[in-house]
Amino acid sequence: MSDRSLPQRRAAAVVAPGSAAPRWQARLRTAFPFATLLLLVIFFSLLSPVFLTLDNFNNILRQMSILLIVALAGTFVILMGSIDLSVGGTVGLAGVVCAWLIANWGWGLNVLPAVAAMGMAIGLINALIYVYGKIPSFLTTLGTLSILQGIILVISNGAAVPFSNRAFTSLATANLFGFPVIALWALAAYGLSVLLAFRTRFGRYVYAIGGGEQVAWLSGVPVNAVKIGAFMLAGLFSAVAGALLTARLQAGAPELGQSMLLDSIAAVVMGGTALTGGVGGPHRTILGVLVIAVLSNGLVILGVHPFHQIIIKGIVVIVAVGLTLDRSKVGVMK
Amino acid sequence: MAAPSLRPAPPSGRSLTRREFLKLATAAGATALGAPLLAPAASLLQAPAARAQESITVVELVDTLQDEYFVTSTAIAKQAGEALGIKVEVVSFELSLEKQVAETENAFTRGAKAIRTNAPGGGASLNGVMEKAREKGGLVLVQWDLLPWTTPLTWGDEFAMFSIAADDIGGYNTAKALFEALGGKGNVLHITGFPGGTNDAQRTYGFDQALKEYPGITLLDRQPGKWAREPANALMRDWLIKYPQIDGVFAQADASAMGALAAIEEAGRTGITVVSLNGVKEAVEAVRDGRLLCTSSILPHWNAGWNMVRLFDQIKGWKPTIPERFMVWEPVLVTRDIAQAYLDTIIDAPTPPYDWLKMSRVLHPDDWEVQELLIPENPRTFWQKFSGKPEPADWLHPDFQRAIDSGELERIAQLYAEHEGNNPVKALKKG
Repeated sequence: MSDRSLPQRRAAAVVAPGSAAPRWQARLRTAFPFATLLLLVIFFSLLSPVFLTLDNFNNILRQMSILLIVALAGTFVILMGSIDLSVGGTVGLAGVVCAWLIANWGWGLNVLPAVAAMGMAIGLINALIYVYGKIPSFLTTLGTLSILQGIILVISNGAAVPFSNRAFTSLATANLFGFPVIALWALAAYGLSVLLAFRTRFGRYVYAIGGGEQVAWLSGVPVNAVKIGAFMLAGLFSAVAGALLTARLQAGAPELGQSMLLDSIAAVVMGGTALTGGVGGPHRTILGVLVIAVLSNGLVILGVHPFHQIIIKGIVVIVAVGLTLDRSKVGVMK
Repeated sequence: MAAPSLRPAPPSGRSLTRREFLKLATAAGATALGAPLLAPAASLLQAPAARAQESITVVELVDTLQDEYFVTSTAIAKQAGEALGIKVEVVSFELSLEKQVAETENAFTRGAKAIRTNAPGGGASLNGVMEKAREKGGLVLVQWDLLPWTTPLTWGDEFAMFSIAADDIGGYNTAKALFEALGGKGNVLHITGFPGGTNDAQRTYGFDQALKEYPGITLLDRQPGKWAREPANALMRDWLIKYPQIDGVFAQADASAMGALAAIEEAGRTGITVVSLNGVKEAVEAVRDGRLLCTSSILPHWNAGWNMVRLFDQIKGWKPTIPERFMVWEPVLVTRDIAQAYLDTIIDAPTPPYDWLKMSRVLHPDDWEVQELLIPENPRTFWQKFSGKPEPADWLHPDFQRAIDSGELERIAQLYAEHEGNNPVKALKKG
């Protein structure tokens, strides 16, 4: 996917007219995340014979799939210059609701559309408060996160909710011709996101809002409707991720999804999407997710001490963002 | 080494329009927030019945309510409080040490006589908590973590007691059960909690002690599972790739074991035996069903209630001896042969298996029954094993040293053995 797509050129023009980097610099910057990834792969492959194997490739695919879906959920919101801190709460609630419905009510695969609708409703509520209540998205979703965590505790009573349902579990654990089904879900979410971003008016409007909301509004962009759509999409993807996570773990648990928030934001930004909005896109979020997944997997496989793992991950996040983010397109760095 | 015990004897291709997308999204959103959300939300509005007659309030200040152990222990604390006629308030500090100190102050300011809490991170918050207790004149009972090379006497009379499961024994017995099940040889992985805590150190110590006795067992790797399901699941996935031959997994917590088990089952790997510690319901059921070999129960259905009785007694004026302020209890290894009975008798029992009133030294000064094996711990031995730090000079309070030198620990151990009384878990093991 070219980094010189129309929405980004428009966004760049709005944010920092005349400051776009030369084409070779932009191409180099696009190549940086790939280079980081390649470097990590070479490094781990040299040090461990099991790293570059088909089994581990599938393992990394499984590990990254849920994070990719959650990161995609946040990408559109971040592209608009907003943020959704409730994604982890939605993941957790969807997981616990799935487990609860299956364990107590004998539901099966039909929990998936139910929690998908629930996720969209959470996104809708977030958006309505944010858009019409004019409360910053940071605070709105921080509040929603707390509410969701409370509801999770009420449903689960703080305990894991185990279940047994092979059909539902297979949504995340089965293989299709040797390929993990959970990765197909992630690829579907990825494809849908890229389509939305680059083949629909919705996507173009998201970039326009991120590039400059006032200008977008003056140009006739239905800003409020687009914001509602982006938050509902975030809720939908987060809920699906929660259902898949629960299927993989064969239980819902109150703590599920809590680590997802920071990892997903790190992945989005590492992919080159600026927190200030308008720059980057879902097509690049996958790079950030891959870096996180490969790094986590490689460090464990090498047997690196857990304390050192945390330090290394922090360094890689800073370096990767430093190499990836096109600062020439970001007017103000906050 | 024989099995140790505390007992004196041994996408689509078509472009989507905004209108199409919004139509779909709005229709779906309108149907959401149905029963799964509204029913529990309604229960939030149901306030507990006011119990104005209760004049003693004790605050159960827990790490988090997103953990089955803490949820269980708070329910048991409330159950015991109800039996004793004291009000038990539950507050979570969400693993924020700053919030723990603030909630301690809040509790004593609104009239609580005591708090029962943990001191995560190796007791890092204790100075702050005890300062507030001293200011307000309240009692503090601490479980699971303590600053290394300290005892309750370090902080004064307000520190009612430190109690902890003898999880070095729990870890040892669990590891030994695993190694025996493997026939004394094989490759084993160790999922720890998170380094730095007293309880994590105990369990790792117990595992290492057992490992020394089985030269045929190889420890392939050791990494933290953070006491939770998801991190352990991810860790296990990587290990399954890295190690072609895994025979056993020792998980430091039930939640981690269940996460590892899900990864093993998904990978279709067989012949891997998993064991864990804590004894929550899900794990005991997994033991019953043969998915886990065993879990070492730290008796959440007993210890929270017993702690409440201890605080009740002290609030009512009973004074513990020095050894009674630093005690450990024996965990129980739940294996498949007793798992169902453990569920029926302890976890799912229709009536509480413990008589809380009978535990009280105030209500039953002569015939009190602690209903579990509880013994005073020598703090020097304790910290030599679990602190991971060299012993500082003059750390032990002279009164505690005198109690050790005079044989008071042994006398108290004997006293508690005599007052063990009706121990439902012991009955299970015998049965």
